[in-house]
Amino acid sequence: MSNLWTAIATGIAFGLGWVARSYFINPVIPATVVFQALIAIGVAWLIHSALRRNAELSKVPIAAADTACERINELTNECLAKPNGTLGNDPELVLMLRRLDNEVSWLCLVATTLGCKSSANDMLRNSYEELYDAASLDKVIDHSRCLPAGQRVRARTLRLQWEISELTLKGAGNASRLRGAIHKLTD
Amino acid sequence: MSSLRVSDFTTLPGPRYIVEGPFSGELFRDQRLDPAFRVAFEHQIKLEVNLDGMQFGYPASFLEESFGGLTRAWTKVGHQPASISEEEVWDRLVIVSNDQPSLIERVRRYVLDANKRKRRQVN
Repeated sequence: MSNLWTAIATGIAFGLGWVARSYFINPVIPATVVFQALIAIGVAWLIHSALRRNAELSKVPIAAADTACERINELTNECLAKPNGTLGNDPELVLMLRRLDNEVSWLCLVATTLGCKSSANDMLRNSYEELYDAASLDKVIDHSRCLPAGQRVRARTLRLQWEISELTLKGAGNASRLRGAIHKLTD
Repeated sequence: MSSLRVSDFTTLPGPRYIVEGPFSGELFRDQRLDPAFRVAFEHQIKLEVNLDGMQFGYPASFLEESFGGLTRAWTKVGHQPASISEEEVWDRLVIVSNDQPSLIERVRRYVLDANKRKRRQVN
């Protein structure tokens, strides 16, 4: 992108020099031609600005998904790191599971708003519920069920992250839809 | 509609059974949920259960024993005043959970799958 920037800046400088030489110093090229060249440069500038703006705005939902995925992975690891014998109603464990639930819900909201297939959302939600039950349905945490459930949470999170990135990069319309949804949440 | 708040019982839900510790799901069901459900059933109204206000959250065991246990009792043949189906139990409940909306679907799952869990325990 910086190379394109440099190229355009060079082109503009060249164009201005050419205008100065051709029109003011030694006018061998008709003014209309020079004017058309300037218009072409102007249009190219506008297209470049629009593309750059879309690229920058697309980073917002992708970054939001990245943050949620990172937190999901961290919280899943923290749950799995709980020692054997941890009570299913241990406050720290329960709070961790609740925070994980919040992050999964947030990621699924971003995904749904951008148009991700509902099956990907459902699969992540189902694997979270598996982990939640494995960790807190019995008297003590059941690691034999937690470990595979945690693995599925991480795999399905990564899958959803991929889909979110793909959909965001497909078009500015998707990112605008997410923006609208966020406004509704925050109003 | 009659209503019930779990936070009036506790803000720190305990384990599944009374013998395991205080503020258990079994105690909540016996002391609060079942009596309220009975009243709602007799008056043919819905029972709203508000799950908000917990300090940390709900362990699955508390929710399953409360709502799943309620369902297992009310679907048992010969239960008084009536034996009803899992769907009928769910239809009579209105779960409110603004703090953690995903709890609503979770409770629904525990109610509708209540007797599947019972069969696993027997085996």
